[in-house]
Amino acid sequence: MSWLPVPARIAIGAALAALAGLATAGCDGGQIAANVPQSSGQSFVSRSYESTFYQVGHRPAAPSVSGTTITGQRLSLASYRGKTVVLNFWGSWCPPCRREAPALGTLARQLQPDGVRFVGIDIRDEPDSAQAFMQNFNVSYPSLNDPNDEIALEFHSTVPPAAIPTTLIIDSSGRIAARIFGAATYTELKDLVAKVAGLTS
Amino acid sequence: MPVNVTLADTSNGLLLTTLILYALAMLCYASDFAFARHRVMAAITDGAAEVAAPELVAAPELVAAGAGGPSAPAPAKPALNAAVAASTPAGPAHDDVSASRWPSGFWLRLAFGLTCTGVTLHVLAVLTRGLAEHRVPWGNMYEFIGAFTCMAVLVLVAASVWYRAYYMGLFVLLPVVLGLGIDLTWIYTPAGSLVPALQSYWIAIHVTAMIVAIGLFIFGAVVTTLYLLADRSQRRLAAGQPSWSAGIWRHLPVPAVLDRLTYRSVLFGFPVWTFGVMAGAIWADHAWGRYWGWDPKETWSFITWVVYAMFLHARATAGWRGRRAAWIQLAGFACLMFNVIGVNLWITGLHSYAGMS
Amino acid sequence: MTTAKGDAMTPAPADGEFRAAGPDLADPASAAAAPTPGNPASGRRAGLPRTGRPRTGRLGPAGWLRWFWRQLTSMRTALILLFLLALASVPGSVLPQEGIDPAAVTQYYQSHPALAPIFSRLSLFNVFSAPWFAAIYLLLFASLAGCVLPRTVRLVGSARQKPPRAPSNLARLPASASYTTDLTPAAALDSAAGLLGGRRFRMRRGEGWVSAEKGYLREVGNLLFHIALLALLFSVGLGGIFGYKANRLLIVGQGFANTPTDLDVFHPGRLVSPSDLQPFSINLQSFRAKYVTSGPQLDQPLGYYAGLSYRPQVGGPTKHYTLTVNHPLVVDNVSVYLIGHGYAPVFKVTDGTGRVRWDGPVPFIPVQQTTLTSEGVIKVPDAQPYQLGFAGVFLPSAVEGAGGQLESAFPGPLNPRVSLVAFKGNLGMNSGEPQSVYSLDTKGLKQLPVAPRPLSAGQSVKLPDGAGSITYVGYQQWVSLAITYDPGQLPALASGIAALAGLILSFLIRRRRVFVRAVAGPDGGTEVSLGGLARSDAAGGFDTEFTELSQLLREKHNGRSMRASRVGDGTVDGPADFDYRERPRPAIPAAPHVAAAPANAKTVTAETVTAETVTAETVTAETVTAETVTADMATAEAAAAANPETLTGREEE
Repeated sequence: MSWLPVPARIAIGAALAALAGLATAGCDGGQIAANVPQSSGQSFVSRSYESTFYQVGHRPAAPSVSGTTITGQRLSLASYRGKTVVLNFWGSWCPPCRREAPALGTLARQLQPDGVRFVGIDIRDEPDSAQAFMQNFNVSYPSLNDPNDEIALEFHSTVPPAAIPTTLIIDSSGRIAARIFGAATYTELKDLVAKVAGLTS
Repeated sequence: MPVNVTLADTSNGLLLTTLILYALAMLCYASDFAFARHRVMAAITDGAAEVAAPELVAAPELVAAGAGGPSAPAPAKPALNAAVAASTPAGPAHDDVSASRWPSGFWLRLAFGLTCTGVTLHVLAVLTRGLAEHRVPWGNMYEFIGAFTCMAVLVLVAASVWYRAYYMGLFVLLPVVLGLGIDLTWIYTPAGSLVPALQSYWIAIHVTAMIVAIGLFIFGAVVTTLYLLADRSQRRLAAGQPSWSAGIWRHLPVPAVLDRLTYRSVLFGFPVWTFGVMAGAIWADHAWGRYWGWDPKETWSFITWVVYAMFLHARATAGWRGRRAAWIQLAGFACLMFNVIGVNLWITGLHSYAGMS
Repeated sequence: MTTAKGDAMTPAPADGEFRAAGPDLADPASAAAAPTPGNPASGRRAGLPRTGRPRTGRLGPAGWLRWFWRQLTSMRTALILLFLLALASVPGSVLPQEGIDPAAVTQYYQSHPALAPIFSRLSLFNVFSAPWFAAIYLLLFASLAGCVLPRTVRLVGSARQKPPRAPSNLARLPASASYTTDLTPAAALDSAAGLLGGRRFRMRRGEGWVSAEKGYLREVGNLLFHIALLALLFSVGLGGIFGYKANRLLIVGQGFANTPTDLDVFHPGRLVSPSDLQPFSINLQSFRAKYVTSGPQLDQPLGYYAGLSYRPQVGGPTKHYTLTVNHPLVVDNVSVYLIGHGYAPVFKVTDGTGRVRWDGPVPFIPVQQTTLTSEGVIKVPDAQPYQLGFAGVFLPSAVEGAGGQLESAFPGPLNPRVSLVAFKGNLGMNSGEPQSVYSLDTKGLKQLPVAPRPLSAGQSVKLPDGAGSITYVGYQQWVSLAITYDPGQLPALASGIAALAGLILSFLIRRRRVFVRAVAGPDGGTEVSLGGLARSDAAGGFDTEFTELSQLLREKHNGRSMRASRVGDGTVDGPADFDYRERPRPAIPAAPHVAAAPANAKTVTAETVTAETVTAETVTAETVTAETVTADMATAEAAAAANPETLTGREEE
């Protein structure tokens, strides 16, 4: 319930799984605050699917994003200026991201001739697992390697991703035109991209 | 820094000696009750003594007269006033009471001397333990109990001297001796260092405040218990029923005085407890990231605070003063004891620094 | 208004019970107000209707509201609500709570299958956010506000109020003294006023008397305390609405940014959106834990040190900080705390095609706090041809225990070993259903027949069926951080301090009045009489002050033949108040058995004949019971004259 404060909403992570361990004879060992770390799986349970479309004139400018891809090349979002870009935040360890991966891969190939480019931002992943993912799902578009989530931070003042997977659609003038929280489906994503890019489906 | 074993052993020895001295003091207090029957405080004049008497004599008069209807007790009051006026000697009325704070009579002097020696050794025991461990000596249950029992006896000594409450000696030392005994036998933990969560200067603030408050509350609880028992005995006598414990209460002042004494100790203890809870919240914020998380110990100190607040409110509410408020105070003390000991032993939480198996 | 004939609300005249037979015996004043045929309105005074029947009309909605409000803001309700608050907190500390330890709640379900659902429905696993708990403290605070705010208004209004007139007979006050002096009455009063004024009493002079009052700050302290409690509640709410709490587990070498995607657990307040998060990033560069290595306190941790580098703003400068348990990092008003640590063994998984599919650390969670025996799970969903999953146990200092089993003897990494169980099949991750990264769902998995043996660094296990192999490379350490932002923190602290200050003020100061009368005596001298009383002085202390004042004044006036009365019950205040005296107590005579005594006799015991019942504060409408009526009509009257404002319907303190 409620705005009932802090106490009730306390981070599970600060949970006291107890210094009960202290209570062994003579051994005062134990954790600092013996929390049981909770999986980040929690962060995308709480959000349900949500998609937003920003009208022309109400679109925040996308920050300049650049980095190294999983395969080791340099990549910068600025090089895609003039094209519609679908920016997808994902991780190989994230089940909803795995669920939407086939749809993204297919759409990326289909919309390539229309000038739509897909770029992934891979969060909290090792290069080996990330490459395995891309191979498994036959992902053709590049993904920036962002183990410390610094790229997402760049979006914080505009349209911050609140959970993953998050997909942002950036129009050809470099403004964020749409946003999807949660696993995207093929049809919804296709419609949204078409709307932004002005394509006739 | 490693523990200084010699000092730690000295501390243990001092604490054991303290326990023995307290036990002997108890015997002496009891002897004082038994043998010094007709002793009167040196400086109290006859006038003052007479003042007490008419009050008690008036009680059955009032009771008897009460049967006669609402108008009957009214004359008793002027009679009381007259008795008071008659018995007061000419001259400044209150000079004599300040003359002698110190105990009189061999047994009482011996008892008080033993108590003071005991508490000095007790303080030294706590001190040497702290020196041995190079830290503030309240980091586990053994040290904590040793500290607040010490505080309880310090409150006893202070009350004895300031409020001349020497009669409390036997009754306060009883739980102290029991507590120290259990502490030394079952709860004993060898000297050691603090777990990282306790390594902060806040331990000197928060835990010290709690210790002071607990000492005051212990004293208050013992006085309240005596108040309830003495009051019950008095009411039974006033109703004409026998009271076998009346012999004990003759050594104490009237229940109203006990009531006042216990109210004083809660008046001192409640702000200190409030401060201790606040300091704990500030420390919790430093250590655990939130100033209040409904950890069992936090919850129980909150409950204790609320019940003592109930006591203070009851004292201000008609019909709740006296016995009802006393019972509320005892409930608060029960919560306090559960908070201090029960939560450590039986409920797991962030506060489980008992250090025992 | 009811008519003489009676209507639906008043009983018909026929019952005759409440006929106005004459003046009400309990209320002498009504005799004067008894209705007479020629003066139908006179019955109003005692609330009697014109016909002499009691008013039995129903309350309207406004009346009910007023009644409810009076009940809510009464002391007794406050007592009950306080009691309920304490009682309601008990299950919150005894039963496991969702917000604190969800794992323990699940365990409770398993160990008490019948009780747990009932408790859950009553919100006993979430007591402090339960609606009934909120109802209790909200009612309590409403009661508090309803009592305190009007009193604040009254206090402000009475700030300039003068003390009341001195009563005519000072000898009836709880503390009084009198003496004779050679000064003229006017001179005596002047010097008395001077003395009292010098002690900062508020004064009022009249014809032959001086009235002085002191201690108004007590009420200020009292109100400050209660208002500060209200402020505390608001501060806590403020933090809950605009603040947030988050957690993140970081392996050495990893970093994170303060965005929701990068936090393991994120609990925002109501009005917090992701763009409100302060945009800092933190990198864990090192971690060190020190333990006691010998002696009786073996295994006890001595200290934890996490070396951090952080950037308060995007693209800003990088700073460094060593995070330890009681020293949080404060960046951009957000506090970061070190609240846990553990081991993250590093694995390399090669799948059936020979490609490396996993190469990095996996955080293992401690299951044994003292020795940090940890368990964890490795999931490789993109391995070919089969998905692979592993469940392992990590022992930082593996030794052979009794029974040949390996166990960890020390929390430090003296002999790290890992033992694994391997699975292949479908991990269930492609369906999109969220899973914890610390647990393995073995529904779609088949365990591989590989004997788990403890691996040391560098050793591998080859998996059958061409599924691949796994190598235990080494170990890393991780820390768990709590990130909290609470804008209500400082206001809460300020409120707490104000509450404490108000509390101490209200306990230290007592409100008291001293009156001096000087009358020219028959033999040429002046009879000076003093009287005083203290409101809410149940703890005593006023008589010492009064004694001192009377002594001083007597000396100043060169008074003689002083007579002083003691407090009504014979006990005096100050040190002697708590006198230890062994005095020969008279045997209480066997009074006639008064078991059947009426209520007024029963309540008149030595206990009630104390200074308390005699002081004016008890003379309120509530307490005009047999206690005070029988014991002391005269003094009550006199004291009431001195304290007219206590004759209200409410208990004052």
